[in-house]
Amino acid sequence: MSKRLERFETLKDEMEKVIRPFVRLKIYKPEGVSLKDHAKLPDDPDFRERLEKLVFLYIKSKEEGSFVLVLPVKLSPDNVRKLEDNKGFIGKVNELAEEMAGKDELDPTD
Amino acid sequence: MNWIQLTDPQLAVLGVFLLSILLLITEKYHRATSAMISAALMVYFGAYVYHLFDPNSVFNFIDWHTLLFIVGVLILVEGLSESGLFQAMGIAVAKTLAKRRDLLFISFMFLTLAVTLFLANFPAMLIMGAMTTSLKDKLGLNVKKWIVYEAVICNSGAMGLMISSIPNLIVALNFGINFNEFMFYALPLSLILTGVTALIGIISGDLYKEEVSARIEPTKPFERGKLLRASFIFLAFLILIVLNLPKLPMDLVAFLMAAFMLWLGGADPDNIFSNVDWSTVFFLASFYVVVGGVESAGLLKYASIMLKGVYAVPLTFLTVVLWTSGLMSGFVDNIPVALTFASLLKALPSGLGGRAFAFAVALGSNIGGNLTYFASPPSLVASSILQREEGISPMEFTRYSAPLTLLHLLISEFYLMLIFGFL
Repeated sequence: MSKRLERFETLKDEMEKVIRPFVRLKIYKPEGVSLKDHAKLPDDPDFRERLEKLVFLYIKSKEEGSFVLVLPVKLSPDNVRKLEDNKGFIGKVNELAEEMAGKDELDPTD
Repeated sequence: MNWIQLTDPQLAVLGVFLLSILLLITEKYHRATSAMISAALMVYFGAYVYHLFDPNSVFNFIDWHTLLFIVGVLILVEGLSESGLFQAMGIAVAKTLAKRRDLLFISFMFLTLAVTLFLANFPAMLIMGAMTTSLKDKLGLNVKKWIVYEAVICNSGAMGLMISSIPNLIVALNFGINFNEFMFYALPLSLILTGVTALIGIISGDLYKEEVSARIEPTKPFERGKLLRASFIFLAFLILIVLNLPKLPMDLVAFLMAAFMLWLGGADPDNIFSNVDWSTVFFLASFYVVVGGVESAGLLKYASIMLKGVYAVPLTFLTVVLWTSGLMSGFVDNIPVALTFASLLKALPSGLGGRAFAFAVALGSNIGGNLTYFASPPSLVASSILQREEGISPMEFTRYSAPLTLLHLLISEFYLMLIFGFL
């Protein structure tokens, strides 16, 4: 039965690539996190949603010659979402980031 | 029949036959393993212990023409499946009918029938299941309902053409029914059952989970050259067997066209060979040996004497054959059911309207695959997909599919009565 389901998965992948293209990634376990938590990631819808958001921002920012900042801001999930949707907050963070890092360092031509 | 009249050799052979059925029902081992163990026991008791038949005659029990035809068809079907023809058709249908929701459901049901008719029920379920689950989020489909209905059509629709399922081939080749005759009697019924199933699906509602406005925009085209080549070879095969043009045995035609598919079809032959369901071939060959042993022991004659009272009334016999083969196929693989019934019918006196009964076996053994989730490969794979994708238990699959099975058997009975002049 497992071989049959493997075949189903292959066909589904082929079909999805036509309708909704995707790439496969190996995400290795970072140091300092548990094996159990790492193994749970594929079934975590929040993780997938945030990863898709990162993919979008990463590709878009790369097109513009900048880079996405990944910061460990510790807030509740609801508050994180509120801030992510708040253009004023994003604008202020960008200003602060430029000020702290220095304009030269953000220049993609460097 | 008095059971005491059975001799020791007959009892031993009957025991092996019942053991083979028991092994298949319990699914303790792979069906091919169960059939091979049973065949080995049959040869041991029949040839070496009781000398009912010569060990060298065992190979004559196997219908090599049927077996070779099946191998050829399996290769052709794999080649066509690899081409992506039906996937491309599915995407085109979804793209065109995304907003016309009931029509999309009806089209998918008839597409399931088309894939089943040409690719057989198991690859059809894999393709339709993959297509449906891929479109789930884009179209807001209630996957549970779509997959169950697709599985039902994969089983019931498989009666449509001679090449659509192994029981059809067994029945057709045993009773000398050619491709056209099979299609003439069986295809209209598979169309009727598909239409009825689609209608029930729409009337009972709950086909969509949410309103989604997403559009289907294929981003990667299928390889047109590969698709056309494989389709052309398969079409040529169909034309050759429909018109019987080369006046060659059908198994030879299937083999020649399989060679063309491997050579020119565009798919990697290694992929085709690794995806062919070889276990079916071993299963069938082994079960031929089991049934051959039963025949050699004269048990089929006993069974025909036992059935004398039933087949004296053709309408009753038709009902018994259809419903017994249907209900048995709900618990045992439909290949041994078809093979046993075909052998039994051949042991009956001729002139009993054999065609009607032969078709009853073909229809019953295909439709019965819907009765339980473990009855047939499409049902099994559909219930596994639902369990994996939606967390739905296999028993729930049966709760939906079993009433449709009974309805399909009922419609089939009326159809056979009508078409063969029993009414």
